[in-house]
Amino acid sequence: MPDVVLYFSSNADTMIATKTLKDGGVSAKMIPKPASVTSTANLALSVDAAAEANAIRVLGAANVALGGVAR
Amino acid sequence: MKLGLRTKMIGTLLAAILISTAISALAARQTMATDLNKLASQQVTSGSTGFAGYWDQKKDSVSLLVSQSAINDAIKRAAKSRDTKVLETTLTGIARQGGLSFLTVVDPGGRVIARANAGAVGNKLSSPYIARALSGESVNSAAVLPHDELEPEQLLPQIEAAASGHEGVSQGLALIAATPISDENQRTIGAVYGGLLMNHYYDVVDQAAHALGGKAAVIFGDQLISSSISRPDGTRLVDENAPENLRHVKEPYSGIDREGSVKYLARVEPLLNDQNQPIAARWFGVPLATFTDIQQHTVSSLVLWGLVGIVIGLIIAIPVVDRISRQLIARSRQVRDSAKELSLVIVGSEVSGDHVAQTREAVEKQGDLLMQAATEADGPSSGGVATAKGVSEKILAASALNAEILGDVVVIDALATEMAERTQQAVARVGELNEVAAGLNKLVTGSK
Repeated sequence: MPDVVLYFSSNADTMIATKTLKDGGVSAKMIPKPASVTSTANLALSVDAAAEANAIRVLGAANVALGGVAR
Repeated sequence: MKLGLRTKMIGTLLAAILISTAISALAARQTMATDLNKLASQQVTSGSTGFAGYWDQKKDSVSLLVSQSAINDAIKRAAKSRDTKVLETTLTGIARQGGLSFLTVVDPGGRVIARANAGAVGNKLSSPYIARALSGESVNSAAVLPHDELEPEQLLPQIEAAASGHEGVSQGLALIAATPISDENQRTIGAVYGGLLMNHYYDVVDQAAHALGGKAAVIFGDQLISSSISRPDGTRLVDENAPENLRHVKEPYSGIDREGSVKYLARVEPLLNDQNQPIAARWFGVPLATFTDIQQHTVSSLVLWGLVGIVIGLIIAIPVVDRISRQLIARSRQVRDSAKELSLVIVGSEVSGDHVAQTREAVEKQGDLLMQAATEADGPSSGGVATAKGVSEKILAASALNAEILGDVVVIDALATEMAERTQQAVARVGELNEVAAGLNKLVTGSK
C-alpha cells in the first residue's frame, strides 16, 4: 500500500509524534514536508497507509495534535 | 478526594483554629467546672455560716429580752406581789417591742402568774427549761414547743399551714430563753420564760437570704416551716415536705437539692438544742444556675471569640495563601514548561539519532548496490554472465536510495536546526529552573 503523510504544526510536534509512534509500535519515517502540504513545520511523517488508523489512534491517545493527513 | 493546595492550607488553618478553640473551650469548661464547684461550695458554706449567724443573733436577742425582763424592777415587784394585771401589761409591752412570740412569768412552783398575751394563768408549766430557770440557771436554746405549750400561748394558729391542702406540723420550733427572777436577797421568786416561734416566721430567713445572696429555710419535722424560697408562682415555699434525705439530718449535708422547681447547691446543717440534740435543720442554698450560667456564658464567649478568630484568621490567611498559591502556580508553570522543553530536547536527540541511523543504513545499502553494479560491470569472475539490465537495475535502485538519502539529509538538516534552537532554549530553561529552585527555597525558608 502507498504511504500517507502525517503533518503537524511544528517540527517539535513532528519529533514528539515520531517518538510516540515508535513507542506505540507504529513504523514511521521522518521526511521533508511535501510541497503539496501546507504547514508551518518543514518536517512530516510518512507511514504505511495500512497503519494510518493505528497511528492516528496512538497519537490521539498521547494527546499529540495532528495537523492533517496527506494521501 | 483531591484537594488543592489553597484548600489544604486554608483548611489546615481553619482546623487549627477550630481545634484550638474547642480545646480552649473544653479546658475552660473543665477548669471552670472544678473551680466554680469549689467556689460554689465555699459560697454555700459561707452562706450557711452566715445564716447560722443570723439565727444565733436572733437567739441572743431573745435571751437578752428575757434576761432584761427578769431584772426589770416592775416585773420583779409584780412577780413578788403576784400582780397579774401589772405583769401582763409590762410583759405585753416588752414582747411587742422585742418581737417575741410569747413572754410568761411563773412563780417558784412553775405556775403561770402572767402571760404577755393575757392567756390563762395559774396552771403549772411542765417545760424543762422553766424548771432549770427556777433552779437558778439561765437557759437559751432552740426548742421544740409541744402542742400543750402552744395552746395557752395562743400560738397554735401560727404553726398551722398557711395554704389549704397542706397539713402543717403539730409542734412548734422556737428560740426560747428562761431566766430566774431574783429578789434583792438573790432568792428565786419566779422565772421569765419567753421565746420566738419560728414556724411561719420569715425575718431571719429573709435577712439571711438578702444579705448572703442565696435562699434560706428552716426544716422542722418533715416540712419547710419557714423559707425565703419562692414557688414558680412567686409565693413563698412553706409547709411543703422537705426531701427525705434532708429531714432529721444529724450531720451537715452539702449537695444539689431541688426546691420549688429550682435546683440549688444547698447546705443543710442540723439545728441543735442546748443539749446538742438535733431538733431541726437550717437550709441554705444558691441556685445552681448561678454557677452553670457562668460556665455556659464563658464557653459561649470562647466559642464566639473562636469564630471571630476564624474570621480574622481567614481575612489574614486568604490573601497570604492566595499569594503563596499564585507564586507556586507560577513556579509550577515554569517547571512544567521547562520540563516540556527539556524533554523535547531528549526526544529530539533520540529521534535524530534514529534518523541518522536510518540514513546510515540507506547510505550503506546504496554503497552496496553501487559496489555490486561496478563489480558486475567489470564481468563475472566466476564464469557467470553479466547483463546490462542487471547493472542498470542496481544503479536505478541506488539512485532511488540516493533520493531517499537526500530527503534524509534534508530532514537531518532540519532536525539539526531545530535541535540547535531547542538546545539554546534548554540552556535558558535550566537557568530558569535554577531560578525556580531559588524562588521556592525563598518561599519556604524566607531566604535565598
